[in-house]
Amino acid sequence: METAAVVVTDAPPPPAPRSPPGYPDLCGRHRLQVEVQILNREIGFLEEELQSLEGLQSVSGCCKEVNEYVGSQPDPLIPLTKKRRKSCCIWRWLWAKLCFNISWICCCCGCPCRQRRPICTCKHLKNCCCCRRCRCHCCRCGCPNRNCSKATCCRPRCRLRNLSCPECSCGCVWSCSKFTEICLCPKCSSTCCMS
Amino acid sequence: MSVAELKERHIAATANVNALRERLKQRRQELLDTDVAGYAKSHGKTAIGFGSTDLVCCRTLQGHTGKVYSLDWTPERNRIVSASQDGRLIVWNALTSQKTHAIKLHCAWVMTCAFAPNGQSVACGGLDSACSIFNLNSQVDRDGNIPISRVLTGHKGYVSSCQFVPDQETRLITGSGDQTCVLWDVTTGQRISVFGGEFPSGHTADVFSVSINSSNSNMFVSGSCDATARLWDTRIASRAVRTYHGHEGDVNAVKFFPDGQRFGTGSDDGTCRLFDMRTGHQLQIYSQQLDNNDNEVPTVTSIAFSISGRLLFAGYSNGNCYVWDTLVAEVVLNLGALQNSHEGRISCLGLSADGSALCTGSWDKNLKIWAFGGHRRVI
Repeated sequence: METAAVVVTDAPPPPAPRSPPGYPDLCGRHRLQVEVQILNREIGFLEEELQSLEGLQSVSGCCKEVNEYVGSQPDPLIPLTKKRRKSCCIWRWLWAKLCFNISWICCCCGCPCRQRRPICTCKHLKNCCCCRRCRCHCCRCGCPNRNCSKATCCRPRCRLRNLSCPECSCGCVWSCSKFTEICLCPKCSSTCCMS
Repeated sequence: MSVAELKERHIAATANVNALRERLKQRRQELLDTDVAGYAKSHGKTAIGFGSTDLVCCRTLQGHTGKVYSLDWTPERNRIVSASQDGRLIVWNALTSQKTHAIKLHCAWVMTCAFAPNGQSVACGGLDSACSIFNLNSQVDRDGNIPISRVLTGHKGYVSSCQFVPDQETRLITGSGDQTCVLWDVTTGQRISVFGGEFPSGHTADVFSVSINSSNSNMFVSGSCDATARLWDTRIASRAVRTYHGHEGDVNAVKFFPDGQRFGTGSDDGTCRLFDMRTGHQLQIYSQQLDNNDNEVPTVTSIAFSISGRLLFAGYSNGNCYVWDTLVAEVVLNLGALQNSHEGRISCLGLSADGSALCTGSWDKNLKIWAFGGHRRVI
């Protein structure tokens, strides 16, 4: 009995993905060029910066500036104990006795703002002095006329009204729990100008 | 030039850059004869003493139903705008704790908000890669929402931070995840300048924060995930004026010092630093000593300076809010440990314009106002 010859041929390999052809890597070349340009630019900046360090003041010079600046600025968030200067007592007496319309004299009662404020223009105020018991106008708008009973206060608007009053530093505006338009601060018994 | 030659040049240029950076670092080290704390202590300065009731939480602003991500004060009138995970902006009267506006945003993924200098508009931005402007005086629509008055589009990544230019109602600066900062004209919606990007010397990673110099509004600082802060002049977009190295992690927060000559930074490396704008010097590191048991360093999420610059408020990812005495580099108070403090991470904080109050925003969905509750004795 003859058997049929079976010719077995290798099956063709299944299709497989091929690597991309070896075209010039233009994208990579361009990217490299850009990166080299960026690096060269960076080298230029760094050399400039190195040169600028020649003759530059040391860190201590900058620290001195920071110290001086911080020391010269009032800060409503910082606990402070200040001595009342004797000269302030003299000014206070003077203000209490005389009617001076000298707006350029600032109140030196320890008020942190130190800005020169105009004298109160409240028409109920016979004595135009603003400073009684160190109630400087620049810190609060407490009308020195304790008899002023107007619902809408006649006192001028304080542009720095949110600063704590210097004497008791109650942070009138923020600590007043019963906020109303005109509020009687329980701590300093002054009316707080709020809006 | 062949690719092989380009590669050689690339390697040589990289080595040159690294060598120059090392020389710069050494040269700066030679100029580092002291730091702020060393100088202050040698001149007799001591840390400010805070009593436990000197800084108190005097208001809690409740209303958001999601984490608070950002807040900003008005330049006057004590109002605050806050942005939250709940997809809303809320405008608060900080004195009365009342909400004056609640704005539902088209894109709930908001990351930053800011008040315009006149207090009439607010801006916000987030994952929509745009900055939206709302006029608070606009009439509400049928659904009771304030309509958008302008959308600033152009960023190719999320908007992480925004701030209006202080003395210019119509200009705003944004920082973005696309590694750039942009100066916008709000009235036209057009980009005036782009700071950074592929070719100009900009940040090499996401920008997380911006701070404009209130003394010179042409200058602003940006902080980035590339661990640097960069100073920009809005009139020169082609390159950063200066790059400030030092941090070892993302710079999450930048804020100018009140004198306009220095700025502070807060970072994922757990430190805050004070840099001198003009010289580039790092003046001080504010770093808390950690217990040995601490596995993870709490990151700094937000910073603000008090109006004198004496205090640096820093919010951390573990809920702490340290008050640093900037001159002696010591923590004088931890608002996070006080009574009535937040119950979660402090994500944002900001000082009122007059410096009398600090507002903190937290992942506990609340904002809190802190003010001085102690006494100043006149003796």
